Amino acid sequence: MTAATHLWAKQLACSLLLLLAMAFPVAAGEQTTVAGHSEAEALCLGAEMYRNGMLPSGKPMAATVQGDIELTGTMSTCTNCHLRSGLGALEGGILSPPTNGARLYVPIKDLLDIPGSAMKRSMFKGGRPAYSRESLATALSTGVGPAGEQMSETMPLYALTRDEMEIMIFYLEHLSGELSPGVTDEEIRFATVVTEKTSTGDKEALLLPLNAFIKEEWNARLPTLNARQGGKLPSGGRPEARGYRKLALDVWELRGGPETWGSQLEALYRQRPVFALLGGTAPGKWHPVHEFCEKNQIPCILPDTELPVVSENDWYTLYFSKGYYQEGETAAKYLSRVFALPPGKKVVQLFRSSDQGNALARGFTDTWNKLGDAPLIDRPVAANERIDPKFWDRLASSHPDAVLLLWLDPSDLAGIGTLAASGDKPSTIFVSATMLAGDFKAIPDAVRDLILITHPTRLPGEGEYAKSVADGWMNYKKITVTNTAIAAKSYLVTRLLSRILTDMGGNLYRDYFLDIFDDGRDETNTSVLYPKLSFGPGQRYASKGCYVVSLAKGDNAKVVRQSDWVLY
Amino acid sequence: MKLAIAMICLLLYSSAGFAAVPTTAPSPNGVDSPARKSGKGFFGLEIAIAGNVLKPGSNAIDLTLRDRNGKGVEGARLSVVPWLPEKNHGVWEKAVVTERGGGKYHVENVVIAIAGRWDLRVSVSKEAQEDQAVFSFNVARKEPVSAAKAEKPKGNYKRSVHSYNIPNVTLLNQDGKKVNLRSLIDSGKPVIVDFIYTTCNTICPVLSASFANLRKELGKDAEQVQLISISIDPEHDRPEQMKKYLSRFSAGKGWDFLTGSREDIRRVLQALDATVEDKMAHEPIYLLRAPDSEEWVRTKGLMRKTDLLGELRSMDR
Repeated sequence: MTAATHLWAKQLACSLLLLLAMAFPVAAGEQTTVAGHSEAEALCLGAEMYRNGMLPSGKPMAATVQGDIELTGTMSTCTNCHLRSGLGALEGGILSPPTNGARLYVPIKDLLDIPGSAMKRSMFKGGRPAYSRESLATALSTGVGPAGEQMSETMPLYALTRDEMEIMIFYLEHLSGELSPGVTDEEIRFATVVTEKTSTGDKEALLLPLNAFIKEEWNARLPTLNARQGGKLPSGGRPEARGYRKLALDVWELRGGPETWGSQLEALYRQRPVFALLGGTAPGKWHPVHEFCEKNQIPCILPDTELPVVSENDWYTLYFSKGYYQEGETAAKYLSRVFALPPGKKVVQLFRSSDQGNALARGFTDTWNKLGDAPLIDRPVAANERIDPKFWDRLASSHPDAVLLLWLDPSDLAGIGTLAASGDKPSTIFVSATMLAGDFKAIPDAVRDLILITHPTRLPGEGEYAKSVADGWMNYKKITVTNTAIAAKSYLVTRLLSRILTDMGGNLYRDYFLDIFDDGRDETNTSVLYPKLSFGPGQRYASKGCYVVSLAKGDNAKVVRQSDWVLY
Repeated sequence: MKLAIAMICLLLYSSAGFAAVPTTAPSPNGVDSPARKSGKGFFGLEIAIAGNVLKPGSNAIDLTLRDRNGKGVEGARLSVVPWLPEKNHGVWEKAVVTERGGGKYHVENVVIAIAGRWDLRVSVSKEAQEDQAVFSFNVARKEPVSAAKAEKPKGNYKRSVHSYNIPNVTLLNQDGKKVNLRSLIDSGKPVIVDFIYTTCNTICPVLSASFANLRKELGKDAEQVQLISISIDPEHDRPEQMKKYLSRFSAGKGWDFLTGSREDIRRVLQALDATVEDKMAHEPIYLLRAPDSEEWVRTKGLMRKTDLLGELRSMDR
């Protein structure tokens, strides 16, 4: 991490944590400091240590692991094993116990005190008495636990000064110490985002599966679920835990331009806070919702958008894919790593300055700058520029035998057949399946020999099993929808939620919610749209692939696969 | 690589097709010559097997093909199908044949599902000449963690000795360069392999920190040991991610992180007995091999640096 990005990460963590700090105000009149820092500063510095392995001095933390292996804060951090929420993980057969605020100063007695899946709990042996600040400091620096036992060598021993230790412990005390907003003793409240422009059909496709899950599968089943637990819900040991809670879903309908959505979201949230956003659909970029969620540390699970924020560091929104950007990326990978372009070949990228065109072009350009050899020529198409046969003729004659990336919609591509007639016809033409909205028959036979299509979903005829399972579920719930793509995404959210809410139990912390998503297995039979969705800590785009296909001639416009699902 | 001739019984095969596999019981231990003529007498075939015997799992074999004059036959099309006559079925996996020149053919991914009597059905065609031969084997049960060679656990890890057939796959390293796994392993240096992924929680950072410590300990000799980390999350782990991951561990020359297609990675994991049902459920494993050796030391469990260094140095003997 460079000094600049480090500073940036630090500032971000701090600004976020100020909010966290506000959730735990000190008693009126009482002014406390932590190692000479205000509480808010101490939380910032603690987060830097816990999440990024960086000491307040800006140096990486130093530790010993496995007895004699030097470990630094750049190699591994507390988050790696105990997760961002502090609730601990099971990985490689090693159980990292919870170290969050709510668990530190109470004993861990049995399996039910270990948050997470039944499998994770089953790996728990023994127990431990409550930590005190002193015994916690001893454990972190010497590996001797609160009962005087030697802890596993896999827990690193940290060399920390007294001040650093104080900050670390202060941070742990506040990490997942109180249940997140949107949770009451009886209820977990979620919201889903739509806009005034969302059609009734699209709203139904989004909401009917979510509501069917909430009402029929979860809320109606609560008495049984709680009875089965015998009142002993894995709860993080909080005495006020009430068992599994009812779910409620608000629909947040945004009006007006996207630049006003942020303040609308803030107002809706203030009116009635929610634990997380589920699904959601909006035309154009998802940025306003994304930024609202980052700022307020609210998870946003799998919204229906092809225009996500593409970021390596943002945390709170989990997307299906990078959308259009991923298609641009795929075209660049195909041209550089699968299909080696002959030297001297020109690559010309055409796009209108629309959200879609820009995202495709950016995806291609970002990747091409890293992998491509040939020069890339951008040819933006102005908003008032008409695309007629002459346009194609001029394009062909100024770039003969080039690779053309036509990030354009079907109306712009209507006369594309002209290109094949030109003496200077291009060698290859890339178009986007999402931009064509799957209408491949619109591509005239004349250019089909030249066309390659980025295809970010399952191919026609693939995934019949997943489809039959999803259809079966919808039929059973008596759901009929017109927008099957949105419904398929909503259905997938319900399948993941079913498992995740069960595994969360009473540990209703937003960071833990995301931690459990990250711990999810690959989904190959649940997604009607994608061949495979996969998850991992910090992985925020679940679908990792995109096919490149060509089209057979004739009325059927048969899709012919030209690449693997994942290109490197 | 040293190849030893195995316990083989070659049975002449009639031209009537595979349904009529001879029922003669195979000889127990390499009594017959491993070299025989094919059914119609067009070809002479000689078989050699890595590690002496066919074992449950993936095997590699070498076939030498000669014409009637004893001259090596090049450019023939070969297929090798493992067949369990007793149950009258084969295996899902397809054997992969690579021609090595001079009539030599190397066959990988010869998968044997269970212990018992197996036939290897070899079909050969060269221009108009088509012929077949069947080699029969008794495949013994898999030894429980190489009983003879299993050693007492050292520290907190388990140690055993194995032989593996490395599939001939080309993977991608952290620089986006294509790397042939077999060539990398056969680079003449001691090799240590582990299985990690860039967003792994608990064990990968410790495995990688151990590699980093080992390199530090070796100092200027660090490049004389080839470290290979193989991604078990190939869909996410692209060269860019892997490079970033390695930089956290100050990796340099002599440490390659490899990814590849799901299918290629699956073959590698299967061949090295490191298949994971799910990436979250993987185990801390190191595989160590001395240059030109056929033996791999396999350790399981997180180790101390001194233990790993000890294992490495014991390969120098």
